[in-house]
Amino acid sequence: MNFLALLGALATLFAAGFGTLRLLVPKQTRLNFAEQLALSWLLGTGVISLWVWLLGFFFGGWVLPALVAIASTVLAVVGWQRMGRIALPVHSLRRMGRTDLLLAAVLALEVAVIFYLSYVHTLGWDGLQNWEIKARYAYANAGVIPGDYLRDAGRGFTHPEYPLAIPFTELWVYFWLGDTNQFWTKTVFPLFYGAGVVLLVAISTRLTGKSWPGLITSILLFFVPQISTEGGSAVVGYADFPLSVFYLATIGYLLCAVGSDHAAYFRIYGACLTLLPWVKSEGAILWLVAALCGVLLILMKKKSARCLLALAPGLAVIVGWRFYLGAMHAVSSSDFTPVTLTTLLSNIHRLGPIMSMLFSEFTRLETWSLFWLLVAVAGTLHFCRHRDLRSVVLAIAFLGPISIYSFAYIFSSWPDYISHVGLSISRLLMHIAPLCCLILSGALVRRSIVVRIAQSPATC
Amino acid sequence: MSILNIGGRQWPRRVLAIAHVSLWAILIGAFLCVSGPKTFREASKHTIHFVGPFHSSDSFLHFATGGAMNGSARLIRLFDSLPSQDLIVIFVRGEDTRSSSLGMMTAYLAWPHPVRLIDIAHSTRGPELTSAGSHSAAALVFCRVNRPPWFPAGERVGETLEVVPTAKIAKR
Repeated sequence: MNFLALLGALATLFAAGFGTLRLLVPKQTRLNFAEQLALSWLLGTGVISLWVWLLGFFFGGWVLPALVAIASTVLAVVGWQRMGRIALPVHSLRRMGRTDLLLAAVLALEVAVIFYLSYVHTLGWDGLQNWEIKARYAYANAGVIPGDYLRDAGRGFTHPEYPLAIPFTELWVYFWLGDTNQFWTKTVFPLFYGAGVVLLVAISTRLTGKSWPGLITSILLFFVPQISTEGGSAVVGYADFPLSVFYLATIGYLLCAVGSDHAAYFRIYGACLTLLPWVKSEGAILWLVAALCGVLLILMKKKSARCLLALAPGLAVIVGWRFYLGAMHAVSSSDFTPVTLTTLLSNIHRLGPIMSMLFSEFTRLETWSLFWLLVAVAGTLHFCRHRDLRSVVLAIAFLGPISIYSFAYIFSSWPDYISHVGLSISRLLMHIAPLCCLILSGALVRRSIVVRIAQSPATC
Repeated sequence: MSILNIGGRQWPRRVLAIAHVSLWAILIGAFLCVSGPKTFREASKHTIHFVGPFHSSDSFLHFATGGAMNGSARLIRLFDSLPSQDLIVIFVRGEDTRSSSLGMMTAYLAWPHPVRLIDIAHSTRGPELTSAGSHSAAALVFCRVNRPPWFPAGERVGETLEVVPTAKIAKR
């Protein structure tokens, strides 16, 4: 019974995402079937969690999930009708060679192992105390985050100020199960892994013109302990890996938009950009970096100023969420002191040790293996070969978050800021790891990167 | 002749191609050698151990309290029997990670009660131990912290977690 309810929850998430995707991209756009599934998952979790939060201001109890379920069904039907027959191409499978099929089979096996590992492991500490807790308390409060929880200083350690994409996706599972359940809710996380590797292959294929580089790098991602087995990995219910998938999709589709006038890519970029700050607080930093990349593209490609509207929904999410927290008098995190010039000057001496910690994190074999060495070699090769807008975007998308995260530790309020860095830096680096796989896949190919799409009109 | 041809225009390209393939083969091979065994070891270490809706918190309580079974459900039942608006005061020992984690897990399970975590190692907070007990608290929870001897015994969850409802203290 639980399993059927879980399937219902997942189906509605996919349906909402599919409908959103089909409404978002121009009618004639052909996306790979697996790619559509992956994007449907990302957009579905974002849309449903946002709906549950927003409708929660007006409705509660059984009405809330019922309304959201109806809305997602309607969205899926509208999307299906809009696409006609062309949106589910299976031809990409037929086009794959034997090597590609073999690599795809290995990748599918790895995704299955990630599912297995998710069920084997318990939710990690933050998975339970920062994310699942919000789903549990909201479920106990008719689907609405209780104001008392947001204001409860005693529970300040659970970061009540964190946004709700992950907890409300878990809440959606609880609605369907009819109860809270720490076991079944873990199903959400390997699906993010699956979506991440599929998008990595899809975007890499589009950028390199070949499937195998994306398939190989996606396979390698599994062998990064920080991604698959370590604390904070993709299997223990943390928001870091889902955030990294959203970031990969945001920057990946922006890169596709650089080499093509295809409207669909820029719109998908806009949609994923919107959801970045909704996944985790650090998503606002990633939003800023990705928005900067988007503005750069708009300026350099002389796109219409209307394209800047793609930044508006994400900004609305950031401002709306901050406004909500303020209005609810939510307890705010005490991990960082306010950013002031005085604090900056008095703590600037921290920069050296922080950079040293960052470097030692890059070289930690037990969590990253040789992943960062591969990325360094790939990056060097890539930036030697290509000095174009796409390389600039990639460089900003890679260096931007690292720089801002490192800089932020200057304002750490922990008595021992070194332990603050040590505890969180590996998870922060996860945010850019799948994107780095994209650089890696580009470097595996000897020929120049090409974009193999251009069918529809040049609009955003 | 064909060798000469290869050695003529084509060989720099071929050397580059071989160097490219070799570089990546070595790098990827080294990467897999470093992390492959660890990943496989981790992947095969555990088996699925389904323990119900409190899968994660029960596992943690079992580990942190020294063997509590169904700890989450027992704690929730206990907290549900107390007036929901009343405070749960949780005493932890700050320097003991397991104690503070246990305190936070108790706070997670104590909803909808407001909670207050008190680090007894913090010298300035010592007096709170008695004052918290005599005010609006519904229960005092001791996480790897010894209950004061003049307090009545409460309900033990495992060996290191004890919940003392304040009603018991008042009766005494």
